[in-house]
Amino acid sequence: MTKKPKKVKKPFDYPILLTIIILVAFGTIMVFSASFYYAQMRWGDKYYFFKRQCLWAVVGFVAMAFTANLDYWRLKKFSKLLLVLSIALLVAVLLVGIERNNAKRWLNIGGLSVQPSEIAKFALVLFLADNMSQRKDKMKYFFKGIIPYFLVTGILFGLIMMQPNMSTAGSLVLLVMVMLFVAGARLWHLGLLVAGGAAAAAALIMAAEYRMDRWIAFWDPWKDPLETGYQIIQSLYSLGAGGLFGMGLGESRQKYLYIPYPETDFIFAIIGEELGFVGCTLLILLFVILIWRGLKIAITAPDLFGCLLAAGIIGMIGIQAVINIAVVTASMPPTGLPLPFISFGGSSLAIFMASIGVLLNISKYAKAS
Amino acid sequence: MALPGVTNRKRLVALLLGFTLIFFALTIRVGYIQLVWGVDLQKKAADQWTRDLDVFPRRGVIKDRNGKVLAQSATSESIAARPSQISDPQKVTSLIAPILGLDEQELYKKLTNTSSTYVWIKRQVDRETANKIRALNIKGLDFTEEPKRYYPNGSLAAHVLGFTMKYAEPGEGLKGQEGIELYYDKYLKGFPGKIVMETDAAGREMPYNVDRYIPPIDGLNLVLTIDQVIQYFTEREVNNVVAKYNPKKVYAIVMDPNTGEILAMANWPTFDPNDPPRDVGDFEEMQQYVKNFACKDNIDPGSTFKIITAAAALEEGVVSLNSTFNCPGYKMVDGQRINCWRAGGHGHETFSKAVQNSCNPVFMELALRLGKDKFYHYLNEFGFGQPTGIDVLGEERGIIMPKESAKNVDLARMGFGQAISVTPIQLITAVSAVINGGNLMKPYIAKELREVVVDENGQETERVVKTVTPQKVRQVISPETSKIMREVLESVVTDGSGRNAYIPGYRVGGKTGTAQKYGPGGKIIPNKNISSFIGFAPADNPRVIVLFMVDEPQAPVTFGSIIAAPYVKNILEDTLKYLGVEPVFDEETQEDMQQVEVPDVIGMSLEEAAQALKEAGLEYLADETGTVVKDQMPKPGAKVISGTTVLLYTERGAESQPEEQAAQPPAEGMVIVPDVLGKSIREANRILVSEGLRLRIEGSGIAVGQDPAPGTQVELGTEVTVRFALPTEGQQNGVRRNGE
Repeated sequence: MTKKPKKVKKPFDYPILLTIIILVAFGTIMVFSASFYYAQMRWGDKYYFFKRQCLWAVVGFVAMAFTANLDYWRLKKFSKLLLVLSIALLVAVLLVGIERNNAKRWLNIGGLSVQPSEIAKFALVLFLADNMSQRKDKMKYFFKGIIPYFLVTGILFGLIMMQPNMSTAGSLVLLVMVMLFVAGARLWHLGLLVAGGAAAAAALIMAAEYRMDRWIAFWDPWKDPLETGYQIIQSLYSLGAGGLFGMGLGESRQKYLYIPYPETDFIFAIIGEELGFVGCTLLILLFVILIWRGLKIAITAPDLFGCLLAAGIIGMIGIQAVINIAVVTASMPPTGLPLPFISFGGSSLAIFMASIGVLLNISKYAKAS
Repeated sequence: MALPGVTNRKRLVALLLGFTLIFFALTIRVGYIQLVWGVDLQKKAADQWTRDLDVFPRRGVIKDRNGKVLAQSATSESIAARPSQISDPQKVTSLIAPILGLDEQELYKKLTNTSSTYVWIKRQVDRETANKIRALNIKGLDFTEEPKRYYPNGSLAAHVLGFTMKYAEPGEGLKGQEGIELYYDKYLKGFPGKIVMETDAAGREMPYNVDRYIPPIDGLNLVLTIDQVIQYFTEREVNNVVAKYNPKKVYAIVMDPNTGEILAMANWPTFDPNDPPRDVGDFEEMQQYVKNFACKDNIDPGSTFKIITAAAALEEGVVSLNSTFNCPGYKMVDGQRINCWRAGGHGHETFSKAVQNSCNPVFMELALRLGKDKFYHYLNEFGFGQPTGIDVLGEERGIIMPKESAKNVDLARMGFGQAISVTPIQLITAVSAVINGGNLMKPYIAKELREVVVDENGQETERVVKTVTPQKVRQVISPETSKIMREVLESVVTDGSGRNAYIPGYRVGGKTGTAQKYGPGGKIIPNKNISSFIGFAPADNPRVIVLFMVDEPQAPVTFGSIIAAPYVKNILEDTLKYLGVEPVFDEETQEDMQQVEVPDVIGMSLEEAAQALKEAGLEYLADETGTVVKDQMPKPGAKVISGTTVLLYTERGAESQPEEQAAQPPAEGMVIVPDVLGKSIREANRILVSEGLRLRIEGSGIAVGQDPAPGTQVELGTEVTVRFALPTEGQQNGVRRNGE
């Protein structure tokens, strides 16, 4: 089955590579700017986060170089294995994970803390791309075509929800939807799922008090400015203080412990504060370029597997970027998803970069479109 | 192998469009937050980044009419803590509790109370103690400069001045609590400024923080009508009467009868405004010590009130100087017998004689002759039953029985000063009107408000903002009647009950008074009297009027002529000489009085001056503040009567000023100005305060200049002017690099 398609090797899609290099470099600088004060206060080392981010960026570039030169169809072989492995890791994290902020999300692997859910995301993309490309004709059917993928995703979703980490779990659901959409599922099937998903999300929000609080805080953050509304208010202060051109690189005031997680979930707010609307717009533009080039690779992919794989990778990045920026701008209830390539978070960065490597590899075999 | 189909491609394009659309929407959202909503958000954000530190304004100085300081502000240090920043409360407690004399348990509780961001450890700590704590270099402790009020003369004029709240209110500074300090609080207090600094969310100062300084506006200085010297004379006599007769209370007022200016006002018991009796109980109980009794107590005036009856009767023509009366020792009014104070009566007497004798039946007669309407008219015209309007908060208005219910008996009693209550200030104000030509003046204590202006050279000058001018309330009697009354009252001193107030060489007028006190049910309490004397001089052209009332003197005989008149005499005599009113002598008296020339003692030490004055046959009186005579009164060369008191103004002896100061260790009371260049405002303040110096701040930012220069030797408490400026671009970068 997995025959090597007839392909002519072309150079990489350099715009993507360039975009990623810019994003990672910029992200690393912003991680330092946003984190040095907290790092100094918490760890007595203002480079604490910066050093780690640099290290992971190097790991990420190595991983990217590796996957960019690994013919993507070879990944098919590992699709099931990787899925099983990530399920195992997700179970492990529930048992022996490191607990931070009331959630078990991290595994300590050789001194590095890794989020198995990040691996699971990529595993799911790979599995879905492989499986959907083989069962192309089934996509029209709701029970035969769509439900099985939701069952697989459901396992991951359930395990991640137990950490708990609703945002990552939720992003997996969106990811499946995007891939089903690209794979050719009927739109009314998807509409049905969206309605069901919305109902489920509402149920989940109401089931946990902290999620309910966030929901209320989203609608009126000033109702409880020091508790539930605090994050949203501080994020808005940050952006508001930036204005058009920002206060200048390194000049954020909000990062002085006013805004929580300035180096991860709310790094976009710090960027807005230091570089203003201009900086924010340019960053969003970079993401749009990335998505455009990425989807172009998907369109020109030589086979459906490559197409779906590229679409899944880009979908994963796009969904996360949208959610992160939407949270920071108080456009949706606060939830903790890092901004791809920018936020501090080692395993996430490395895995995203490895995925980009896969994307670059697919681009080498692009057909003329 | 499956190939991507058309559907897949179409949907990928749709996906791209979808993402682009969402990102576009988010960009709009970001733009709205940053550019439209941002204006408001920015302000709110900036609010939370800064912490304000109050800079207290300098409360206005209160001075006497000659510029002598009666109340001024100085600063003391207060120590506070930020519990969240105290790493080892147990250790800190054991370190500082013994130094500050605090209870360890209480202190520990304060330091561990992390729910409050800022707690006072101890306020108004002296400098040495504060420096000891400072030397321990404990993180989380804060030293702030707090204003404190000083009254350099202790209890002098305590009831007039009042005092301030014990501690400065955050954002307000010192607040007046009593007396002039309270009445003129809004002028004295000024407006606080602040130092704004940037902090992190936990209140820690930012590494590159540059303080912004909003200067306070100092309070206005207040000049009183009080003369410190006359106040001293008055209180000296109050103390003398207290020492001799141990009374319950004493009231003394010295006033300029022509203007209503209060020259001195003293009450006993008194207190030290530096340490007011805050622990006697609640507000009401404290009031019993600190309120200005002379304006707030209603007292039966007794015979001094006869002046009012006499003046009204003369003005209305129901009596003349030549009218004659017969006093059998009592008078029957509506069938009720009211006695004269003298059992046998005074027999036949003229009006003048009746005043000299203070004969009760005559004044009953005068009141009855005036009739209720006229009598009440004059009560009202002279200001009884109404506040005088003096600048004392909560002035009383006296007690007059309602006109409708006053019977002839009551009228008769009021005629000689019974059955009526007045405040001492009412009485002296009314009597002033009787003798000054008939003008009821509004009495007042505050004379001028002055603003302190600092010129470019840092020289402070005062600019008068408001001057209070004498205010005539109304004409009560004619100048002619007034003239007659002066003569009558002078005869009281020369030939009548007021002889004890006679001063050789001066024409003194006055009237004695002895009021009985009434217990419950209107019964006279035996042996409890109020002895008083009101005197003025010179009788032909009064410059000073003195009211002296002694409540419940412990003496077998309590006539005002004995208990009060001699003290009024002393006050009048010293005051007249002090005011430069020359005595005029008759042929006979002049022989006893030898004129001497006042020697020049300026520049002498106090001991030398005392010796020189003694040799010249003069007395002296010195303020206790210094050791070297700075000025004297009367001036050298003046001709005075031997035995006159020479006033000496002293200052602290200036040590010889060595040329090479800097090289030497600072002399006693001197310090070397430290270098504060490059320091923040708070840093500079901390350094200067720890050396016992005061900081005058100009501008904002970091110190770029100071005066006096570092290394200069100056007196403790000297103000060092430091110019602060925001760093220029280059400096700013330097500072910032430090921070990161």
